[in-house]
Amino acid sequence: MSQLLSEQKSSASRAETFVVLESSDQTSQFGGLLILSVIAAATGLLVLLAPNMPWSIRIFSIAIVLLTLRFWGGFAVLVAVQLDLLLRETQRSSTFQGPVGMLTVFLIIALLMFINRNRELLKRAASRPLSVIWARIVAALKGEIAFEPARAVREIRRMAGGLIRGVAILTGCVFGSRILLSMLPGRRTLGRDLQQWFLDDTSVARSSLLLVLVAAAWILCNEISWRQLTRDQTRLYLRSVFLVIHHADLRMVVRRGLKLRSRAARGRKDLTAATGPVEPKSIAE
Amino acid sequence: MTALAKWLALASIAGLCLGILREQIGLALLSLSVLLWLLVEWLLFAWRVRIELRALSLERSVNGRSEPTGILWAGRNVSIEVHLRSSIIGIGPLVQIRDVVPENLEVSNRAHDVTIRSRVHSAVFRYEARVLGAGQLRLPGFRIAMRDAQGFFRAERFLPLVQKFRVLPAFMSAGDAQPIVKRINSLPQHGIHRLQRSGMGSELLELREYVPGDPPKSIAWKVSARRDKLMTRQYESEVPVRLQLFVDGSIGTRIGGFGLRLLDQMNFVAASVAKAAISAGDPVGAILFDERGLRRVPSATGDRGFHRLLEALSDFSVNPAPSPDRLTNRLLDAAMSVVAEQFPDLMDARVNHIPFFLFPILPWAQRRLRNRYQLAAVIAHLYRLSPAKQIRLVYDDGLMATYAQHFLSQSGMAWMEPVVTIRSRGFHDGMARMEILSAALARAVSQARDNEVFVVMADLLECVPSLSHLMPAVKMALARHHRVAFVCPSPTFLRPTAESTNIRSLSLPDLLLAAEQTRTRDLASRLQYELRRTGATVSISGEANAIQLVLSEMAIARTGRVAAGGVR
Repeated sequence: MSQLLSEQKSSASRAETFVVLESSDQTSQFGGLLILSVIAAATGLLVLLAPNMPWSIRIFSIAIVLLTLRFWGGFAVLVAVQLDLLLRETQRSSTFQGPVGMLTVFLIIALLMFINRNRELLKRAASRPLSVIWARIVAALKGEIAFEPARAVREIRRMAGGLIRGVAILTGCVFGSRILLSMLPGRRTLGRDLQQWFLDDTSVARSSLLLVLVAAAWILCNEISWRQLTRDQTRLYLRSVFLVIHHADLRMVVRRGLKLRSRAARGRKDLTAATGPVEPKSIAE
Repeated sequence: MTALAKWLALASIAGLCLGILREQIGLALLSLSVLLWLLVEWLLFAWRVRIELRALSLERSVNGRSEPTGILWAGRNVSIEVHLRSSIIGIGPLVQIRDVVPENLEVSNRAHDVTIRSRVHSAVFRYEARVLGAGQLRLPGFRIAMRDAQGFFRAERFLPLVQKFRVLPAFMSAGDAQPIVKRINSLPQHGIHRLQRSGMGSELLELREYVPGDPPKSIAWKVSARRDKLMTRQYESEVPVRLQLFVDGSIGTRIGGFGLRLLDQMNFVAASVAKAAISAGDPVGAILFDERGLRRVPSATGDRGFHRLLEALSDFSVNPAPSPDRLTNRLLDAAMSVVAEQFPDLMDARVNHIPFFLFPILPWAQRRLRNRYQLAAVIAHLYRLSPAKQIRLVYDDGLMATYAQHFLSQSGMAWMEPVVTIRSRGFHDGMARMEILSAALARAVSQARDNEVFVVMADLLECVPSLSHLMPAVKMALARHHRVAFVCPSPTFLRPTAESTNIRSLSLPDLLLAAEQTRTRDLASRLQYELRRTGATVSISGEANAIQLVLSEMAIARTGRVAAGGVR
């Protein structure tokens, strides 16, 4: 019986397929292409911003944003777009009310997503000396860099998966934010809304219920996170909580003891005796 | 949450507020969309961390074996294979898995660091590594870093999977010690050698006149008849050649990277010589000495005896607790980085709370103190220290230095900066070591029988002034007709010949090597002069030359000749 079981187990293990993992240093087959696409897309968007500014300032700003891409990813691009909107967009503009506005926002965030996804590639490329980058470009043009079709197919599949997932998330986010924005009180209606809320009889009851719910959710979250801690983490947590509570007293005692000991050691003119013999045992497994 | 996500959130909140206040729909919509995007990514990431990481299991097999303990050999390659299994939903993408390897293991091409780039349910990665030095090798586990595709969130965990290995020293086969050609009438048993002293062997040594008390069996009747007086046959003594190894493991021999320590050179010579001797059937014993005292490995023969000796050398090569040093920033930083790598769970601010303190006010000083509090908490947790001692770790530099040194040493770091302070060569050598060695040698002589070969492997280059303490024991051993050979490891791994001091090129490493070699040669010549006067032989290297020297000494001992010692 046991032999049969072991045979079954071994056949099951044989049937299990293992994917061979790639080293973290492995570069993408489309690395150069992706980097160029990121730079081109970011430049395209930035060129569209602030059309009234002189070209010299625009080129300077674009250069700064592009140079910081590898450190800040899409942050600098987002800030540039936000500044442009802040300075150029008119109040209650109808441009962003309809589907065109939503599509514009969708495209901007898609670009941010594209930049962020390829930030590692930018970092890696920027960390190399120029001569190496140039040599790689020359080698690529000469066709000396080996192209592995199997890996390329895998990467294309991964990229397609990421694209679908990204589009789904972004669509949801843009629609959700549009709905949320329509629910949020505006500057004009804020005073009236607050007045209405205060005058409503059920406000206190609703607030109390909300508070209870928040407290319950907080307790629940704490309980869940406590139960997810490992044994070592819980021990360290208890130790550190104890230490935080008694920190002042313990510190006073320890510092006084050290001061007395160093004074005594100075008296004996033997500083090496101050530490005393310490025999740490091996780390508990 | 990474800095990028924080900055994006900040810009989005600011943009949303401004958009609502200024009634700019586009700005508000963009900012709110980015905020929602961050929220969705966070939710997805949190789900991945909670579900995927918990279901992840890893299994490592070293040379095809996945047992928690085992034996490896220094200087040899090991193949390591890691199997990864997840739940039905799988794991990935963008999960970086790194098998944390100690300094004693050299991995080529960083193949122990892999990334899951697409969702997988079971995966495998393999890498080759080379074990550098004898002692112990502990593979603690895996460091797993999970991040999202955008780089907004990052979670690091350490999955412990401890495997401990005893690393036996490397050795080389020095050829067959038994002569193939039969040069004598009767070959003695395996491990028994002729000695040109009278004994009860089978080979004739000489004839002498009969003296009362000689056994009648030994009377040579034919010769007695020819000479007309009773003559007695004297036979050679047949005894085993006992090899006694003295291995020095003092602080000076343990400093350096694994595989580059003087102790590693001595282990190599000791193991190779022992292998050759045991192949010839000779018993081999050892006396291992350092600042902690002596450890005697009884003489033994056969494969079992050889393995017992190797195991003793391996245990002896494990670095003991380093001597307390002063606390430096480098030591603290090294301890912090190891803690952050091997115990990221314990560095989490949610479980490792830091008490509030106002002073120091300077931000960098405060950050340093906060780091020290965190480090003290982890060390106190690992070594089971009391809370008072944990606070002492923060304020007592000496105590923190001691524990940080121990922690780093036990984590598999070599005895180099910052674990121990490297002082000038010869700092650690002194009278004490000479006295220990002298006592060990004297004791070995007192317990020895005929035909012993004493091989002293010690870092004596810096100890020429204190050699006078050792000389009486060496002279006594030689006077008792034992062979004494000294093997001094060379810090440059090269024999200090005249050619070796030549400057190969004007590059800095070559100039430094030539300077070091010149100094070694000077010290070696003084040492050789002192030891040659007594009749001992000396080899200044831990390579094949030293092994040949010891083997030739053994060959001399086997034949029973008394040859003058020399310099090899």
